Amino acid sequence: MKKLSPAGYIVTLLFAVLAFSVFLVPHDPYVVNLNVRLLPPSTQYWLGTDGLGRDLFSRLLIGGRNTIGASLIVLVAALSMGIPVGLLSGYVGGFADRLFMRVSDSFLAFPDFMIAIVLSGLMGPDVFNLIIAIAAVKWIAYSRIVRNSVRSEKHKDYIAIARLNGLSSFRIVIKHLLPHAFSNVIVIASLDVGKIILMIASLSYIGLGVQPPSPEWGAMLNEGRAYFHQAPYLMIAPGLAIMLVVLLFNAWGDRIRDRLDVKRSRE
Amino acid sequence: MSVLKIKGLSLNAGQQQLVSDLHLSIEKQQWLALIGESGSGKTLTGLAIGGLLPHAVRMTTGQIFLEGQSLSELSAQQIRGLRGKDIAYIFQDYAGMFSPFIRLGKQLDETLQAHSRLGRRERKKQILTCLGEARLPAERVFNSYPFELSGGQLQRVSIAAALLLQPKLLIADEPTTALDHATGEEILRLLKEMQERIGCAILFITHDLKHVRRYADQVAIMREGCVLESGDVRAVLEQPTHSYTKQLLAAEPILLSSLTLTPEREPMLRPVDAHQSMLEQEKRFEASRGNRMLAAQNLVKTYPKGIKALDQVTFTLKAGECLGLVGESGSGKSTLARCLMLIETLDEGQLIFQQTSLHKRKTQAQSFISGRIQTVFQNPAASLNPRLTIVDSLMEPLDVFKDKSPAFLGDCRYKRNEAAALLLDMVGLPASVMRQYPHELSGGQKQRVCIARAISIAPDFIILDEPTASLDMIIQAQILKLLQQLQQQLGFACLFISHDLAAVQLMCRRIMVLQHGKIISEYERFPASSIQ
Repeated sequence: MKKLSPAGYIVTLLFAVLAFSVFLVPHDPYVVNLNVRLLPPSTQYWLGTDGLGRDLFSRLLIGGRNTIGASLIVLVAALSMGIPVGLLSGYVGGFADRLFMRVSDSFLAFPDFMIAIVLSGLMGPDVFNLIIAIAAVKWIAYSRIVRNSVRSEKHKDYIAIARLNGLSSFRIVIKHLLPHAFSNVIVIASLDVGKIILMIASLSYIGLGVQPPSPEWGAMLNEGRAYFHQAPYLMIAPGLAIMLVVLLFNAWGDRIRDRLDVKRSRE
Repeated sequence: MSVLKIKGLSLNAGQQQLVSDLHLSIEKQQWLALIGESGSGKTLTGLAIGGLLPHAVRMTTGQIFLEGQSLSELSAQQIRGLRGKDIAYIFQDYAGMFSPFIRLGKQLDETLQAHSRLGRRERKKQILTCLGEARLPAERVFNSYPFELSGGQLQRVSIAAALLLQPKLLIADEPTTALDHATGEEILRLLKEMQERIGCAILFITHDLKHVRRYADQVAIMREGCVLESGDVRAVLEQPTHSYTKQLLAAEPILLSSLTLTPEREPMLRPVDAHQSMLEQEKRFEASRGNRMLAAQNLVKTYPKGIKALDQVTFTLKAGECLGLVGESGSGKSTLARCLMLIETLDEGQLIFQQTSLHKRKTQAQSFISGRIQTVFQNPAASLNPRLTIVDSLMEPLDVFKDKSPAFLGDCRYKRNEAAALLLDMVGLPASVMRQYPHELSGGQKQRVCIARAISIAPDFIILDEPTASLDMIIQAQILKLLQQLQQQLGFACLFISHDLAAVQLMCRRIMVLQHGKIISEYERFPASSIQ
């Protein structure tokens, strides 16, 4: 077992905290109590309370679970769609490849956000729909990366030798091409976690994602906007949380890239 | 006074010593060859002279004098002034020397502009004469982009560029390695001519003894950062004192021609008794007379744009026979190999392997040849998946053909690690490389792994597609020796493809010459008995 990097430790810790967030929260994040609305941070309410008197720290924890959980589901969905399509398109080539390329071109012709907004708008505001919308935008990029790495590898001599050795196309793809493609795509994907978090937060901010009263970082930013002058911490706390988590996942992505590189991991 | 004098030069990268205590001197108009295998520090020495060392490498001790002027006392700016004017370089990678999107004339003009005060017209005139002297169509080259010229032409341009300012010292770092044989010779002849006219000294970095013999006056032999031996070419090469020099010289005749092997000079790396091996081949050949293994008839392969890679190629191969195939680059050798492996489909012709025709029903043919035909490619680095450990790459054929159990593996057949260790041992590698990744091995070691993989299921036929072309000379000799040994031991038939006639002669009794996709001649070597 290789040693975990600092980023790896923090990510593990973060996952643990979020997984057990239900037991860790000091207050119920959903209970409205207008007597304690807009309190500044104190020992009882660590980050203060929001406009409806709910504990901000508790909402931040549960909201983190929603935000990060949703973004990881998006990632898994996008990868499990993108990798097989990319492998197929890169390895088979010909008509399948041309078809895929034109489809992906037409997706890439529009900004990510616009497509996601249109899709989740059409399906109605809901977390599940949001996840589908973002995954539908993201898988294209992954399958293009996989396709390109397959195309660059498949003419190398070791593939010719494998074919001469009677390996079936399926086994050539699984044994030789997938590991190569995967190591390329997983790096991009881990760097994308940050972007997906931002996307979910932004779409929730405009009301398309997680619906109140469920907490979500982007939605919390939106709610805090109304009290910006009285209680700036309502926006500062979720904003900082988003920033730190995005940075963390980026650092982790760099680390994964180094780890998957056979040449570097030995050193 | 010597043009260049290096005193006690040491180069370090971190803790690692790359060059230690090196002394060299070149007199006026002399051609000094610095010879050594890859990684011996010869290129770094060349770069150190012009102050071009990579950042990680430091010059720890030593001094370099150019016509008595110590270069270490000069500022970076002064050295830049010398570079191009007094010290010029020619590199192996001719394509990398020019910017791809600027016309060559303009690129040459920049050099001239930096070092002289000539006007625009005069500069152009000088460049054109220089290009002309390099026997290039001057006007056309002046207005060309690098991609419009061939490799040989570009290397000529880089010679013209280097000699534009009549430098005192020209450092040529393996200028012919990336070119084919005939073009390389032309380049060196041109270099010699230019040297005589301009009168510059040349530091010629190479790993090819042939070139040293033909062109150099002085030679220095380098290994692991030290100069082992230096002096007059004739003196050093005829009476070598150091054991490495002897080894180097011994490796050479195998490649030049096995026929010229002189018995009195006991080389350290003799081939496995070429005579014996020929006799073996002949015996097998006689035994299998009429037993055709492979018959190819009128093979035709045409690439888009009507380029005929193969044109009516016909030949046969018998079981246990070694057939040589020689040709220049672009003659269709590799296409033939790929067609035989069914990686590429033939346009016309018949291909019969062990009484089974391969030219129709592709998938069936493929499954028929797999396990019967194996191959070793030119580039060992591309032949091994960089993400798999050696054992995984090596055992791929045995993992697929569970029912194949070659006699030489014996009881180890189904014990994966033991079988791998045995195979590695057969090609002279320690079992410990099993757990390593390809990038941790040298080129020669990788090629040995590829050979081990090819023989692992005891195929009937092995295609060797330039198996030694990307290796340096001593390693080439070792690999050839190994292949010969294995062929003798296991008795597989093989098609040995190479551009090096000498290497082919060593292994094959029958040799075909391929040119522009046609077999232009085919000859059998004299029976082994008549050589002696």
